[in-house]
Amino acid sequence: MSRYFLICFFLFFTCQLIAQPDFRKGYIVTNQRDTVQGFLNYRESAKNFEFCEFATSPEAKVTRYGPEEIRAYKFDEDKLMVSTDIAISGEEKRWCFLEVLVAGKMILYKYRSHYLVKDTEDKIYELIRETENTALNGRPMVREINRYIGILKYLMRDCPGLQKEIEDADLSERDFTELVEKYNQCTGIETVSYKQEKPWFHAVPGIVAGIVSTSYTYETIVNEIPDDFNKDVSFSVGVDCEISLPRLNEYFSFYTGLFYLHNQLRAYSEGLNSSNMLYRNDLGARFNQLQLPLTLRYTFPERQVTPYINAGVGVVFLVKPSDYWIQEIEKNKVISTEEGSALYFKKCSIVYIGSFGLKVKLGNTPTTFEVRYENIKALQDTYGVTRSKIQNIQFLLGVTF
Amino acid sequence: MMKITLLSLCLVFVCLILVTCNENEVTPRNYPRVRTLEVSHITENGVRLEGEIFYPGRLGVTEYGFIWSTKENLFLNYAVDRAIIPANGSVDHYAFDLNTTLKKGEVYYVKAYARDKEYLVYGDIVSFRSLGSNGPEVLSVYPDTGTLGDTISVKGKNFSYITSSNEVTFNDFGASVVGHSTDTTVMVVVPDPVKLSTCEVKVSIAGNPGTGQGIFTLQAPVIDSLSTDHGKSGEEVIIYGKYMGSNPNNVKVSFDSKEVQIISHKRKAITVRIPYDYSHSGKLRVQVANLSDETAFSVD
Repeated sequence: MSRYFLICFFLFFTCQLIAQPDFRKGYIVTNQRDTVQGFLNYRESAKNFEFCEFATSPEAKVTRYGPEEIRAYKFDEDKLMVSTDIAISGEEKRWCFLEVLVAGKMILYKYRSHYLVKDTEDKIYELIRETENTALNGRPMVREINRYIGILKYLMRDCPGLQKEIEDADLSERDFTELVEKYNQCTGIETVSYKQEKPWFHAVPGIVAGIVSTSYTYETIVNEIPDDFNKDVSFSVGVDCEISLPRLNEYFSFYTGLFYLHNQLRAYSEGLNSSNMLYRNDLGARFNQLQLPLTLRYTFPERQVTPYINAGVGVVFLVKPSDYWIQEIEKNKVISTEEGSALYFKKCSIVYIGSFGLKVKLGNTPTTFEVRYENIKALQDTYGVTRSKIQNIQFLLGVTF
Repeated sequence: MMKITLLSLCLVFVCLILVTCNENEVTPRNYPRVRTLEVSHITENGVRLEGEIFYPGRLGVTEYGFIWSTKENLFLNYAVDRAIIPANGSVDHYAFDLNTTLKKGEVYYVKAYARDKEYLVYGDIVSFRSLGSNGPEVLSVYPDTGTLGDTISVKGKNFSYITSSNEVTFNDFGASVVGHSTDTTVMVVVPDPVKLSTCEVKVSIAGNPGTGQGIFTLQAPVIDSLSTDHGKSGEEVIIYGKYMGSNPNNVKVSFDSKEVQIISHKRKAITVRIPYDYSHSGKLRVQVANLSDETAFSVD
């Protein structure tokens, strides 16, 4: 019950956090071509192409502007969005905001996942890739038609040195941005990339250590084997790395690392066996967890204390797992002992990870505090074991470099 | 601040190492807890048995040791060999060099055990294949004099607790081992076929010959007195004496070389009937093995 309450609380808390606006300095350009300085709500969603939220000061009332109401809006040292009336991908013409990725002789726009270029004659071309079903030697096949290559080759025909790069270009923001930048440079006209302050790739390594509470549960059809294990509290250490693509998305990043945990768990049971003799069982397990997490991280808009959430999977290696099962049977003050093994650990398993953390600057040191939940299926489905899992709750302190 | 954070991380790391080095925690019990460890040093001279008392119990251990046998059903009874070690202070890991009672090529099972004033606790069973062992050692016999059929004690070391495993010989004649054997004492009956007055007593186990020997001297029968020194044919005469054998089948009584009928045989008294058709004086002789004594007797 408490677990479901926690999940609900976590989801509610997360939704509340996501709903928090991220107002940054910027301006709007009115239809009368007036520039109004203020604060714009920064989002990494498709809503950017439909409207913007603007306030003249942090305390002022927020006003929402659609593409017909303003000509453009721009974040300081960041993206520029211009309004236009356009038909994209065969849809009806309508008003929307386009993101200007590169400006110059040729202008590169982005609308959701569509890329468009405008030439010197103000003609807009959509850079598309299509597929069509066809047949080869009588067998059906799917053919990919990269129309954007032909379009770019035609539009950039005055820079023959770029022809090979066009051939190699993929349908991606990075490739198109670099190509249009080079083209504009090639033509000798100034080129502007509005998000050039943001790197394409950013990796933040760090070290992490913390306290981990590990519980281990399993279900078995063998009644005499105890399954009520103690909670093990130990320590974990690791190195980690947050990998992000800020130019594409500021909020989402990948998180990976290498973590080491040591666990020692025990369980006890007693009762009468089928021969009506008193038995006592001690079951114990020791293992080391070597974890390789790979999660998706969502970092909330930056504040003095910036929250983030992680969700994903990982690989966990149970290094040197060992277990013992001591059964003592008592009859007339005589104790007979049997020792053996009851738990058959997987050497490698999948770990499911969910976490919530805070990024704080302690002095000049970027520090993270994180609560992490992990769920691992640890045992093989043999010897009467029907379900098993190791659950870690880690309280981690990290330093990034 | 960076230094403080790094120091905190180092502290956590040290704690982790300390936690990693901890041994398994032992669940307490009212009784001692014992573990049989793997048998080591398996050679043709014997093996080393090792055990561990990993929890001493509430009352403290008074005795510990090992039991072993070729059968898996191992308990402290007269059918298993054992090494008993009286507890003298606390004990955790212990070992016993077993160099007797093992037959080459045989699979043996062993259990460590510990005892306190209330409980007897056995460890788990461990098996090993023997490469053989040394034999026992005979130190003495008691009493060292006697007659055929007497039960005597052979004192020594490394005997088997399993009575039937101890093979005792008197001048190479096999003797019956009786009673409950221990690792230091074997009870044996002086065998009938012994003829010589001086016997070498030897013990072997599982085909492993022992060392040392006991000397047992077969005493000649001694006639102390007769119920009467004369009598008529057909009358009964009681011969009083000692060393006159334990088994009437090993005793011969004769009157002037003619064997007489033994009516009853006791340890110190043999009743015989005077032969019919005899009417002279002669010698009444008692013979056990090759040894004899005689006394004068006249038939009226």
